[in-house]
Amino acid sequence: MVSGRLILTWIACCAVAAGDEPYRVVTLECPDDIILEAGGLATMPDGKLAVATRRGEVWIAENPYAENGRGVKWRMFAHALHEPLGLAFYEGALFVSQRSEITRLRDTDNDGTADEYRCIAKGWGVSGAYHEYTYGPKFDPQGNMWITLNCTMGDAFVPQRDWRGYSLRVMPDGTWKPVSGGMRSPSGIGINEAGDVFYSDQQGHWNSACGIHHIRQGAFHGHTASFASAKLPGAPFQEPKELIENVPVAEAARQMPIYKPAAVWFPYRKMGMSTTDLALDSTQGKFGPFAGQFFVGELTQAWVNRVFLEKVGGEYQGACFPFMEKFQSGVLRLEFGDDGSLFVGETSRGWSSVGIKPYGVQRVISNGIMPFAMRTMEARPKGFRCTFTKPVTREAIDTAKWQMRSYTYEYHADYGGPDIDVKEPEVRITSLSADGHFVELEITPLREGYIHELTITGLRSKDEQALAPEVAHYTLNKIPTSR
Amino acid sequence: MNRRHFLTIFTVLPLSAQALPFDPTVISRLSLDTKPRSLSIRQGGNVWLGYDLERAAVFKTWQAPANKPGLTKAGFVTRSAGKTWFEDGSKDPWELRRGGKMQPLKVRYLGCTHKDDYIELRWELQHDTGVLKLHERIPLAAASTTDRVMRELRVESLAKGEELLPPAAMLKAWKLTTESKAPTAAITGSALHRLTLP
Repeated sequence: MVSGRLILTWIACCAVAAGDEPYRVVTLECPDDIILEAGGLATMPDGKLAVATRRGEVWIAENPYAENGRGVKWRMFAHALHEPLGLAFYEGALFVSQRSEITRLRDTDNDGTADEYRCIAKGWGVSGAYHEYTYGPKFDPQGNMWITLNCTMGDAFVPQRDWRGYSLRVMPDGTWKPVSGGMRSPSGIGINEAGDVFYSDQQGHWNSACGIHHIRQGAFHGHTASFASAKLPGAPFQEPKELIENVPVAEAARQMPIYKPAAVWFPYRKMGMSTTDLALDSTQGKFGPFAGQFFVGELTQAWVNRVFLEKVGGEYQGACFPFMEKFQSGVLRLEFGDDGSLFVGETSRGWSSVGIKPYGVQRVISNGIMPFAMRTMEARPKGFRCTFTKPVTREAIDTAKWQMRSYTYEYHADYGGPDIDVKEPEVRITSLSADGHFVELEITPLREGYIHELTITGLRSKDEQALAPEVAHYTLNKIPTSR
Repeated sequence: MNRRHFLTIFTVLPLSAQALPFDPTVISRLSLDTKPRSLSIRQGGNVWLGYDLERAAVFKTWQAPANKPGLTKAGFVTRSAGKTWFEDGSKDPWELRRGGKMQPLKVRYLGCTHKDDYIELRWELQHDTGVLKLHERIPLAAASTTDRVMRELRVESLAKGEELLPPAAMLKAWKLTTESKAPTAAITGSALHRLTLP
C-alpha cells in the first residue's frame, strides 16, 4: 500500500513539463485577495469556469485552460450567498446551492455580474446549525436536479429539522420529493452513464468508513437521524419497528431491508478519511483509460481516488483505487473540462487537510501516455477478473506477489469502526487472457458482504512499467451466480 | 470534522462604495436572529430590514449603533445590533379579501433582483383560484426625513373587487399609502403602494 502511494505521489508531483508521466497537475493562478475556497465548480460552454466559494461568492475564470495555469482572469459574478456547496451550469444559467434554497443566477443586463437571484427550490428544514449543508445540484438527463442535505449535528440543534439527511429530486418546476435518507454528510453527488444517482458519505456515527452509495427510492443509507422525518407525508421509508445494530452491515441489511449499505466502501485511512465529490469520466478517453468510472475527491488527505462500479444481482458494487495525491489543499469538488482535463476545487477551512494551502483550484491533465493500472476489478462466482490497462505476461504475473485480505464493518452508532472478521483468503490465478489484459482469480474463501482488498506487489507490464497503484478494494455485496 | 467559529463584522460603508450587485454589506442571506430563511437589507447608511421570507414580511427593523455595524456575523448566522424600531413575532399572514370573505394565502418566495438603486423581492401568494405575484422594492437610499423606512409594493393579478391585506402586525405599525400618498388599509389593483415607518 505504501509503495503504491509513493508511486502515486511521484505521479501527482508531475507539475513539471510532461515527460513519461501519464498526468500532470497545474495550479490556476489567482490573486491573493480572492479567497477561493471552492464549494462548487461548473464548466461553461464558452470555455470559462465558474467557481462558487464557501464565503458566498461565485467567480468566473476566463482562460482556465491556460497551459501553466498562468494568465487566468477572475471576475466576480455573484456574492452574498449562504455558503454555496455546489454549482451547475444548465440551459444557459448557473444554479447554486445555498443552505435554504437552490438559486438560479442570471445577468439580465449583460454587465458581467448577476443581478437576479431566482429561488428555484426550497422548503427543507434549516435551523442555523453549523452542519446543515446543502450539496448539489446535479442535473440528470431528464432535467431534474439532485441535492443532498447534511443531517443536523451539534447538541444545541437536535431534534433534526425536516428532511435532514435525505436526497431530494427537484423537478424542473421547482417541486421536489425526498428519494432516500440516512445520509450523514453527503458532500458529493454523481450520475453514472446509466443515469443512476450516487452520493458519497463520511465515516462517523453509523458509518464505519466512507463510501459511495446508490440513491434509489426508499433506500435508508444508515444514519438514524433521518428517522426524525420518517413520519412526514412523502417519506420514502418508515422507521423500522426494531433497529438492527451491532451486527455486520450485510447482516443488518438482511434483517432490516430498508437499510442499503454502501455500494463501495472506502476503507478508512487506506482510501481516505473524508470522501467528497464524484465526477463521471465522460471524456471518451481524453483523460485516460477510465471512461465511465467515477473519480472521487478526498478532503482530509488531499487525494483523488477512482471507482469502478458494476451491477450484480440488482445491486451496485465495485472497487475503489487510489489515483493521485499531494494536491495542494483538501479536495472538495471535481469537474471535467471541455478538453478532458479534471478541475479540482479545494478548501481546507474547518476540517484539517494535509494539503499545504488553504484553498485553490488545480487541473489534472492527461499527457496522452497510458498508465499501467488495474482498470477494472469485476466479481466472478469464484473470485474476480482483474483487467489491466496494458498487457502482462504469464511470467510477470507469476513473479508478482498476489495477496488478499477480506473483512467487513459493523453497523453501529459508534463513531467509525475497525475492520472486523478479518481473513486472508488464498489467491489462485486461474487464467491469463490471450491478449494479456486480464487475469481470472479464484479466491478461497470468497465472502459475500465483505470487502476484498487485493494487493499485487511487483507486477510489471510487457513494456516494463510498474503497476500503480498496487492495491484495490472490492466491496462484494453480491457474489454473481454466473458469468 | 471540527467545528470552527469565527466572527466577521459587517462594516458600514457608504452606498457609493458598492462595486457589484448584492454587496454583502447591503444584503445578507445568513439566518438573522436565529430565524431560518431570512434576509437582511440595509437602507441608507444604518437602517436594516429583516425579512421572514416564508411570510413575505419584515419581522424586524432596526437602526445600527452610531459608528458601529448593525449586523454581526458569527459562523453561519447573523445577529442584529442597535435600536429596534419594529419587531413582529407573530405569524400573522397576508390575506385576500373577496366579497367580504377572507381567503388564506400560501406564500412561495421567488428570489430577488438588484437593479441600480433598489433590491426587489418577489413572492407568489397562492389562493383558492389562482396566484398573486407580490413585488417589493427596497430603495437603498435613506428614506425621507419624515419617514424612517420606506418600502414599495406592487401586486399582479388582483381581480376587481379583491383586496390584499398585509399582516396585521405590519399594518398596525407601518403606514400603507397609495402612490398618491393617500392612506389605505389594503392593496388594490396593480398600482404602486408604499409602506413607511413613521
